[in-house]
Amino acid sequence: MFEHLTIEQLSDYIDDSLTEEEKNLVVEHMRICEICRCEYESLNQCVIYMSGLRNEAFQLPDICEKTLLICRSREKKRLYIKSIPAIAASVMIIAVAGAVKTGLYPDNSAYVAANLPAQNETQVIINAIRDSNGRIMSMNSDYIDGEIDNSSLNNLEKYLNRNNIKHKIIPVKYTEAVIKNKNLQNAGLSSIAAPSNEEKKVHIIRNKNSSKITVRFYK
Amino acid sequence: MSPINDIEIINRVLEGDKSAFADIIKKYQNMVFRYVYYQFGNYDEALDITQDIFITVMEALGSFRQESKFSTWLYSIMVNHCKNYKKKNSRYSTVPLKIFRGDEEVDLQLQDTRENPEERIINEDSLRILKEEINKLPEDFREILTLRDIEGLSYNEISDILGINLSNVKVRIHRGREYLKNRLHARGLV
Repeated sequence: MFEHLTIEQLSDYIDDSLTEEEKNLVVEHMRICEICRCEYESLNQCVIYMSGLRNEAFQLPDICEKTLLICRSREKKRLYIKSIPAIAASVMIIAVAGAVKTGLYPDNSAYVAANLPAQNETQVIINAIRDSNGRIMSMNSDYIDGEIDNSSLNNLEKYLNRNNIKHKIIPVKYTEAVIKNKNLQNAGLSSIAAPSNEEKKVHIIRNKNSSKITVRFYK
Repeated sequence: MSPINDIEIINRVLEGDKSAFADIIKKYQNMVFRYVYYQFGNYDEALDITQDIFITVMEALGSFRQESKFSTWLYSIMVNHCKNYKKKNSRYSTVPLKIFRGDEEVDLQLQDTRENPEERIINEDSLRILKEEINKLPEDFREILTLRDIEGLSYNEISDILGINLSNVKVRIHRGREYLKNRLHARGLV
């Protein structure tokens, strides 16, 4: 059966990308086959037309100057955008420093404390003892024991009332030795049952003979 | 200008002599413009896109690793830029391929530098038909035939530029040529 040349053969022949053997085959075939010869001439003419467009004389304006100008301007813009965070940080530092210096922005611990996030329970208890001129004696996961001056009892009670913390005053014999050893278990606190949730939270152990009062805060 | 000169120019640009990039523009602007013009068919728009391509090339110059010829790298940027532009402006499906400057259509002068120009001269009508048919080509064919038959790039260069393997390049060229030949034959041009 007589087979015509394929488009691949013709196209490769035009591009001169056939082997010598393949090229001879194509040439020999086209010599005897008018159909393939016509196909080749059409395809070749098509490629010639296309390659002719390479010589098309476009009159282009000078785009060099404008292109370089745009490149420089974009580079400046890019550098400026890169520097914005540094500029913003500098401005912010200067502004804050200025505000602190002029007193618009109080730089003291009271301000910081007032603006801290809500304190947790342990912090509330520590503050209560601190505000009553007291000190922390021991602390565990269930309670905190503190010691305050007798004279600060009023302050502590005010604080507890203000914060709606239920409390109970329990008179206990409180010896000097116990205070020295800081052993509250022996002072009778171990006998105090932990309050229920409905009651609460603070036991104040009072000894009229001592200048100190022991306070147990249940968490 | 040899490839060595391209590298020399690029090094000068990277060292801070931005104005040296003008030599790259002058060398490649005709080729880039021609490719863009045959993808979009509008002189003014092709000029803007050509300029954008050179801006992109200059800004990306630091990333040129010199693993391929500079021209191949530039043409890759050119091809991708045109593809992206087409995606953004989907109206470029059937734009008539004519030169417009403002509202005025301008005739192109085709210089025939072949051995027997009188035998193969392409008249204005033939040129118009050819451009219309190029414009109607499927995008893949138009892209590859512009690179191969208009610009005369090798299969290997086209493979690098388009990021497709050599056999796909050949298949696409064969099919594209066959498609265009049939179209030109139907218009009585071949």
